[in-house]
Amino acid sequence: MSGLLVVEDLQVHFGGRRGAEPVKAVDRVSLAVERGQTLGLVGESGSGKSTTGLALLRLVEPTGGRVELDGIDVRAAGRRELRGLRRRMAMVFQDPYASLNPRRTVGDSVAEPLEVHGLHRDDRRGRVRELFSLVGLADDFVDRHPHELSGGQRQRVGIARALAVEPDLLVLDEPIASLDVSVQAQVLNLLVRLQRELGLAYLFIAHDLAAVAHVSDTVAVMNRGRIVEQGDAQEVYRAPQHEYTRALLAAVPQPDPAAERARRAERRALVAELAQD
Amino acid sequence: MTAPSAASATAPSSSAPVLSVRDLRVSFSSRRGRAPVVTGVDLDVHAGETLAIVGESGSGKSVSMLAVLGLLPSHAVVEGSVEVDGEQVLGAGPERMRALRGREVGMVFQDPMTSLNPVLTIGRQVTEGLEERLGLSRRAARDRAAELLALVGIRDPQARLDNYPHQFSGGMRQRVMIAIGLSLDPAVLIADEPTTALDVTTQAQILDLVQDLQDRLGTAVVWVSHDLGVVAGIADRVVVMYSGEIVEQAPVDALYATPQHPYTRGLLGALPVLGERRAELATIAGLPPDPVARPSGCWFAPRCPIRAQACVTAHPPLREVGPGHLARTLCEVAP
Amino acid sequence: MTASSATTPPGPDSPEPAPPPAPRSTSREVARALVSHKLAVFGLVVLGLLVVAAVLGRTAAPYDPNAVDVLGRLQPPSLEHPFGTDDLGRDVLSRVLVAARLSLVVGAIAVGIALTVGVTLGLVAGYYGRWVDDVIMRVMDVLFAFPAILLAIAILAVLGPGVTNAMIAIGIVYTPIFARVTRASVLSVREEVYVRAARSLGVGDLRLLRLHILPNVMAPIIVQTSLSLAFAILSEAALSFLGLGIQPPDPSWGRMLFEGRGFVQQAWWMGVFPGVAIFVTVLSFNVIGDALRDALDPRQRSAIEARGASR
Repeated sequence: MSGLLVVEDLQVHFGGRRGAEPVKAVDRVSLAVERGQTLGLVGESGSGKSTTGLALLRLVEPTGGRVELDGIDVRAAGRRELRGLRRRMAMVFQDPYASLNPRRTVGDSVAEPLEVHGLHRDDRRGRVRELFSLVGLADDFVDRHPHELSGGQRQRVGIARALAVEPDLLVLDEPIASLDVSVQAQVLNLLVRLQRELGLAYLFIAHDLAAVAHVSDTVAVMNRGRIVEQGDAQEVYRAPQHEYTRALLAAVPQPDPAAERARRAERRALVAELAQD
Repeated sequence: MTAPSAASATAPSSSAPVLSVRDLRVSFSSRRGRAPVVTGVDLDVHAGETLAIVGESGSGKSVSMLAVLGLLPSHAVVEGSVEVDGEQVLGAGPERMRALRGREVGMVFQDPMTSLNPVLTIGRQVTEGLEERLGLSRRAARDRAAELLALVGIRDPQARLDNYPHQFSGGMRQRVMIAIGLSLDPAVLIADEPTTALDVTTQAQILDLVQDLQDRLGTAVVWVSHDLGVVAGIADRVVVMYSGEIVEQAPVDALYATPQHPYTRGLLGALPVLGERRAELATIAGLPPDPVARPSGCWFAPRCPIRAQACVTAHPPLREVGPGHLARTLCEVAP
Repeated sequence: MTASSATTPPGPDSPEPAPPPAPRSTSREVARALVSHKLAVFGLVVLGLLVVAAVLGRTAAPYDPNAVDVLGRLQPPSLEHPFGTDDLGRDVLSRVLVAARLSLVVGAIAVGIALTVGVTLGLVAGYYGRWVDDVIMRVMDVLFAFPAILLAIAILAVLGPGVTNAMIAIGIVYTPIFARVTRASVLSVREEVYVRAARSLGVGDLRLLRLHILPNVMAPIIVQTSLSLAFAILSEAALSFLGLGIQPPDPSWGRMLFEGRGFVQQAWWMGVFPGVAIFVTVLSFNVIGDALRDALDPRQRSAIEARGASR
C-alpha cells in the first residue's frame, strides 16, 4: 500500500498474563491515508477505533504490525525520532474540556507545541494569534481559561493546538461527539476548510456515520478490533457488502419521519441478526 | 408569553391528556442573580402518543422534566402547573411526589451505567418497587419481574434476575431501566436522553422496544433528546425548546417538512445527511443567551439570519402556523 | 409580518467575540471560602497574631524572656505580668510570645522539608510507576509504620538534640504523608486527557510533570500543608517537652509545659498559658486546613460537573 500513512496488520493486545486470554483491542488492522485526503474510521464502542488512533501516535504501544508515516517506521523510532514524528502527526481529542489543562490559558496551551519544538522563536504570540484566527477565534480568547469557553470554542482551541506543529496528518478521535448539533456543523465546516487550505490528511474516527460520510473520501468500518469493510466512502454507504456495515447503516436514524417509518421493518430485521448482547 | 389555551398544546386527540403542564417556570439562584432556566412551558401528552422534546444544552428540556418529577435540588424555584391524570402535583408534598414517581409517572435516565445500584441484583431492583408500591409478595413480585424482563426482550429472564448490573451490557441495562420504569404501570413514561450513551445498533433496538411497548401498553411517552434523527423515528409530536421556552411545536411530519422557526430550520440544516457529500453544512452563528441577561425582544434574534426590526422590540408569542403547529415567530416562511 | 434583511446577520464563520473575562477562580474561591467559614476567620486571626508575634520577636515582649527575678517568682497573673511569672521569676507572657516565633519557624521549616522531599518523591513514584513506585512507597510505608513521636525521638537520638535537628527529624517524619497524598493525585491526573494530549505533541516527561501534573495536584497538597503545620508544631512541643527540641534557655511552649509540671497546684499559669497557646495554634491550622479543603475540593467537583454539562 502507498500513502502518507500506511498501517499493516496493526495489533494492540492488552493483558494476556498468567495464562489469561489477551484482549485484542486492535486485531490486525490495515489501512492507508493519502496526502490531503480523509479516511473515516467508523465503529461502535469497543470496536477498537480509538485505540487504533492512539496506537498510531504510540500513545498506546502497539504489540504488533507496521506503521509508516511517509516511509518512516513509527514503531521503531527512538525517543528523538518519535518527537520529530509527533510534529508530523497530531491528535484532536473528543472531550474538548478534558483535553485542555484547566490551569493554563488556552493561549499557553496552543503555544506549548511551539515551545517544545522550538518553533517561531521570534514571534510566538503572533503565531498563536494566527492559529486562533485560522480556527475562527478572536484574539481576546488567548488569555482565557478553558472553563470560560463554550464546548465548540474549546474544540477549536484543540484543533489550533494540533495545527501548531504544522502536521501532515491529523488524527481526530470523535472530535464532535461532545458538542451540540449546531456546533458540530461549525466544527465540521472548519475541518473541511482547513483541509482544503492546508492540504492536511485526516484520520477521522467516529461513531456518527452521517458526520463521517460528510467529510471522508474513504471509509473503514471496524467491529471488535477488526476492519470488516473498507473502500470509497460513497460506495460503502451506497452498497455495503458486509452484514455489519449494513446493520450499522440501517440503524442510523435519519431526520425524515416518513423514511424512518418505512425503514422500521427492514431495520428491525437487520439489527436483530446481530448477535444478541 | 403563553399562547391562549385553545391554540396551545392540545393534540387533535379527544381524550384528556395524561400529563398536562402549564406555564412551567424554573429558576435557579446563582451568584449573579436569579437565572430563569425554564420560562413558561405548556405541554400536553395523551395516552398512547410519544411527545419528543428537542433542544441543545441550555434549552431547559431536561430541567423541565426534572421539575415535573420534583427532582430538582431545593434551591430551584418551580412555579406553574403540572397535572397528572387531572391531579395537580406541583407543590405537592414529598409523600405525594414519592407516590407519584414510578406509579403514575415512570422515568428512564440517560446513563445506564450509573442508574442501577451495583451491589444489588437486577431482580432485587425490579422487585423492590413491586413489593413496596404494589404490595406484592416476594414470590409474586419475582414472577412479575421476570415477566417484565421478558417484555423488554431479555432472554432467560428467570435466571437473569439473580445477575448483577455489571453482568449486563449497556443496552441490556437500559432495557432493565425501561422495565423498572414501566413496572408500576405508569400512565406516562419520561425518558431523558435514554439512548444517547448507547451504540447506534443498540439504540435502534431500544427505540424499537419502546415503540412496541407503547403499542402494547398504551403508555404515553415523553422523549427528551438532542438527536433529530432519533426523534424523527419515534415521535408523534415534537416540541423544540430554546433558552428555556418552546419555540416551535408540531406533529412530527410537519416539523421536518415545513419547520417555521429559524432555530428549527438551523438545527435541521446543520445535520449531515447520509448520501450528501461535502456541501457546507448550515450553521447557527453565536451562542444561546445567558439566562441571567436575555435580550429584549425575541431571544433568538441575535443569531437569526432573517431577523427584522420588529423581532428586537417585542418578544413573539407562540402562534398557530398550521394545524396543530405553533411557532414563536413574527415572520412567515414560504413552505 | 414578513421578514426583511434590514439588519445584517452575523456571518457563520466570522470570529466569535470572546466572553467577558471571568473572575479568577482559584484564589477568589479560596478567599471567599476562608472568609465565609466562621471558624476559618478565627483561625486566620490567630495565625495573623502569631505571625505578628513571630516577626516582632523579642521587641513585642514586654520583658526579656530570660530575665531572672528570684524575688518576683511564681507571681499570679496581674497587670504587670498578665500571664504571671514562673519559678525563676521570668515573665510568662514574654516567654510565650518569643516561643511562638520559634514554634512557627520550626514548624514551617520542618513542613518545608517534608513538602519538598515528599512531593518530589510522590511525583516520581506516581508518574513513573512500576518498580520506582514500589521502592519509594515501601520506604515511605516503613517510615509511616512508626508513631510519629517515636520516630522523631529515634532520629534525634542519632543526630543529637537541638533546634536544627528537630526540624530535620520532624521533616523526615512528615515526608511520607506528602508523598502519599501527592502520589494519589498524580495517579489520577496522569490519566487525564490533557496529559495525553500534551504527550501527543511531543512534551517531555520533565515538562509534563512541572507544567501539567504538578499544578493540578496542588489542591490536596495545600490542604495537607496546613494540617501538617498543626502536627509539626505539636510535635515540636512534644520534643521540647522531652528536652530534645529547642534547648533552654530559649523558651519553647513544650519546655514551658515541662517546667510547669511541678507547679500545677502553686502556679497553674506556668503550664496553662503555653498549653493554651499550643492548643489554639494547632486548632487554627486545622481549621484553616478544613476550610481550604472545602474551598478546593468542591471546586474540583463542580469543575467535573461543568465538564459534563458543557454538552
